[in-house]
Amino acid sequence: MNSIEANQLTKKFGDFTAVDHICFEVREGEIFGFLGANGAGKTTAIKMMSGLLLPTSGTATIAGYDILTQSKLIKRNIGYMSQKFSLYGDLTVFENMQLFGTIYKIPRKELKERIMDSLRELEMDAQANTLVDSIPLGWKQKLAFATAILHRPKIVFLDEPTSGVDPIVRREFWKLIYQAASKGVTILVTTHYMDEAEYCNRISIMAEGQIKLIGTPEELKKQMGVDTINDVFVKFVKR
Amino acid sequence: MRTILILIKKEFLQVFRNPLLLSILVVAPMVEFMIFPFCADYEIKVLNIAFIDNDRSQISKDIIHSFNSSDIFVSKGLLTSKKDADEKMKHDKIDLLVEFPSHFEEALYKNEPTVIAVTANAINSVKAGIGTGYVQEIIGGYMQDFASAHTPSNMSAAIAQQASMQGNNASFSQREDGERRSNSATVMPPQTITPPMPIRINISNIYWYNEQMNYKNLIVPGILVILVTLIGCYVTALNLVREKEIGTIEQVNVTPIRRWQFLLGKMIPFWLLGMAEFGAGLIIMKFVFGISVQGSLPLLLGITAIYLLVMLGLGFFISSVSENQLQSMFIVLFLFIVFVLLSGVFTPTEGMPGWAHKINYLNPMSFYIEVIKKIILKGSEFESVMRETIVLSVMAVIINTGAVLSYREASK
Amino acid sequence: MNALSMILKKEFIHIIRDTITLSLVLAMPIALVLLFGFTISTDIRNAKISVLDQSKDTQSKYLIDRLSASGYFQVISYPSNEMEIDYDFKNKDIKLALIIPPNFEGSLSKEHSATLQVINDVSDLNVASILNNYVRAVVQRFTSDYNDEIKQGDGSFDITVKMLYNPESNSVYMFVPGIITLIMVLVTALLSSITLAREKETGTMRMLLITPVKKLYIIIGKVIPYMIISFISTIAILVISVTVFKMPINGSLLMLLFLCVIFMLTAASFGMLISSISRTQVDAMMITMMGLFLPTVLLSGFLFPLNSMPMVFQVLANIFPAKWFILAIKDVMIKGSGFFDIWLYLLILFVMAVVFIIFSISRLDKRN
Repeated sequence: MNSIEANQLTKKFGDFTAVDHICFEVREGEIFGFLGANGAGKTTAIKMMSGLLLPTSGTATIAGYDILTQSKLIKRNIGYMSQKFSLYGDLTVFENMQLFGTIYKIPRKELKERIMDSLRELEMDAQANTLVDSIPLGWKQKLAFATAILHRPKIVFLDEPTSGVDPIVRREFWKLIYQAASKGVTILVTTHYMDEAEYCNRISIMAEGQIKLIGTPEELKKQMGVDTINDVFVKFVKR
Repeated sequence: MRTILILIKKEFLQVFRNPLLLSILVVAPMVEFMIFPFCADYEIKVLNIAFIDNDRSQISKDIIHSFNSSDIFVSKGLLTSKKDADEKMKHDKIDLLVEFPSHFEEALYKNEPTVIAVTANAINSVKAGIGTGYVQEIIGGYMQDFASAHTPSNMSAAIAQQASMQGNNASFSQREDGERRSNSATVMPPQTITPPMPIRINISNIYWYNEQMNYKNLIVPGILVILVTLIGCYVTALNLVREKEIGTIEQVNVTPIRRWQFLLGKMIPFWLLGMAEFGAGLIIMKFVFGISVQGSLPLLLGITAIYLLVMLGLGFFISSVSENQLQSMFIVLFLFIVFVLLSGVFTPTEGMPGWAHKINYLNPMSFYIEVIKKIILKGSEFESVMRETIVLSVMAVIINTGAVLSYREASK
Repeated sequence: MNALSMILKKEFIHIIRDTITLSLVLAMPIALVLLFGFTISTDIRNAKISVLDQSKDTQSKYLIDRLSASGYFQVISYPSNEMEIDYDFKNKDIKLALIIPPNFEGSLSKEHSATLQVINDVSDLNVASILNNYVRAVVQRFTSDYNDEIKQGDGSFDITVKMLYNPESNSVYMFVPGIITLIMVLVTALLSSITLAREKETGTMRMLLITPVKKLYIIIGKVIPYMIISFISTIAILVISVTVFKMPINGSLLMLLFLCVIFMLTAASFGMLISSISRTQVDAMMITMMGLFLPTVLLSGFLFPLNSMPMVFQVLANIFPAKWFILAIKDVMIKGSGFFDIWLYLLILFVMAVVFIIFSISRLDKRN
């Protein structure tokens, strides 16, 4: 069963084609990586799928729902973490989670428990009442992720979740992603870090708005005859 | 709905954690109430006047002296030359100049034409108009007293009277110091055709609807309006656009939240804040300025509530269509200035050309200011403000519908 | 110098790329000048009034005619008692009521005087005082006409009135300089007040500060482009003021432009100052509104005469550049003043600009 299906999905801004007729599928429970350089169109693609941008043409279904006609249903079933970790800096950790939890209609009593559990897992429970502005970047990230999955969505979109933090924090973050995936959540993550591709079940490499390569990391490495995804990319670009 | 409640809670938390915003919400009203009433005053209180006396007679001295007893005129003394006067006027040291020609007194007594020249700095034409008006009044008043004391009819009547009284040759009036009148009882026949007296019309002013005769009463309701408008429109516009710019709005847009829930969640807190400011304003008005609401308080609050909705809706609408904070701020500011200056708070609407009046039909502030004045100062009933209420309600509906419709979670 | 020109170039690119804001910045002042030039004035026309005529004789009717004919008033009702006058105030929007006493004509011819009662609606005191002046003016003319008619012989004295600098009593002269000031302040200061705050918000300020660029250049590099943009607006405003509103430029054009440049320098640096103390753009905007715009409207002498205010405010007004600029611009445009008349104002404005810039630079330091 496909969590996500995209068919000829296209986005144009005036004359500029940011996403050019992409087609791909993501299976349930998969971790799918959207790789590519900055400006390749990854963020635009993910925004279309999460309902933040209207496609110029093409279709997609998310969790079985059509993105053009059933966006409200889609929204109930997805989580999203934006590139800017857009949580409210002048609210506390707890308040941020409570806000979004309430919007997603998690019942009140359960909400509090869930938040505290989540924070404990992240080892952030001591910071529950700290303003988000005051916590370090790595923690903000984790918080944003936790908020995105608080309502236990089937699908989570992560847009460059690890940009700007050191490798240790990045690895820790991926542990979180694995944890979520192990519970059956489908995860679509964009990144420009090629080494993170190894963490994904399948990946696609985008360039100039198009999907140029798609497959498991192993497949692509074999295809290109190289050892790392980074080399895959380099070789591909040289072509 | 829980969603809306939590959104309201969020906004309040954010407001109270923003020290600058808070201080503006609290300090601004106080500052406005303290400063506005004392500054916003068109009344001319001081007129600097100087004189050139080419006559140096008793009469010219008397006339000059009579200006000293006026509250408004500040005499800058006698000047020696026109050039001096021109310089002073150019540098705003004097507002008015009164020049007596030589042989002024002589001409008066001989009933020959003579002219007093008044020059005014007319850059502020109202000030000049008032100033020259007062000058003419003071001089005219003096002249009239002079004329009535010197008409032959008076003289003849007086002399006749004296003649009939005791046949004394006493001088008939104390006024002419040093003036020697004929002591002879030259009796003039009472039937002499006498030159008629000039008339003088007095104007007495009565002020209604303002027990204290205070300028403050004009401006204070205006301040209330400005306060409420600022909070309604300006703060909300910035608020929404800021979320757009820093990106928190994305996080909200991906949720299944409905547009109207989101907007309500933003509007209600600011609406409450606006009403609170209004309430505080009314209290300050009462206890600091002694102005109480003459009309119905619930009616006033009700219409304020509607007006706030208009302003909030406007703020949101503008934010929905702006790309960044700078733009929305400019647009809001532009509208705000236009609204304020056209509304009649500072300058009278009566003087505006027809097309400006038409624009004012789109200006919520002009309607609201009318309501405020009528209810607070005149104690008007609902009928007199019905028109304004309907207009504001219609505006509220239109603009808020527009705001909801124009808000897009998904950009094109 | 290279660093400075790089900064200048960067600022210009920012500005030009935001085309919407740019067009707003250029269009807004023009729209505002046009709007306000036509609407802000203390002239009133066709004010609605009621007249309670207790004489109903020839003279009283004639007086009423004169009131209508003056263009200041329109008589919309003839109440018969004070209650009806009250009703008119509350429901018919009249601004003033006149009561002509009984036997008006008789009083004039026999007692040579009469007293009219004017009832003012003081919920709008400004309008009331303006209308009272008009009433006084009409009555004065009525009186002098009456006296002229009954007078015999030409022994009389006369008062001539000469209006200097503004012979047509154009209230435009009062307000247009003020409008010019207001708009210049708005545009220049507002724009420049955002700019530093924006860089702080987006984090690019930190990057700038790390570079070896002199802080002075950062500040000046921002002030100059905004000055130039405002200058363009200002030229547009001046052109409109002169052509549409017939403001004179009695002084030298060069002097006027020089004055404007100095003022823009001051306004832009004031904006920069605000920006340097604001953490976010929103903060900057709010402070600009409260701390610059409102004082400019109230305390600059633009609308309300300064010497009618309590001493405290008159002193306070001196801190704000607008006051000095309005004095100077009126002098140059209307009185034809030259450099030697306004040098003091120019100096004050310039010194203020320098102070603001120095302060902004020091605030940048602290942010480090």
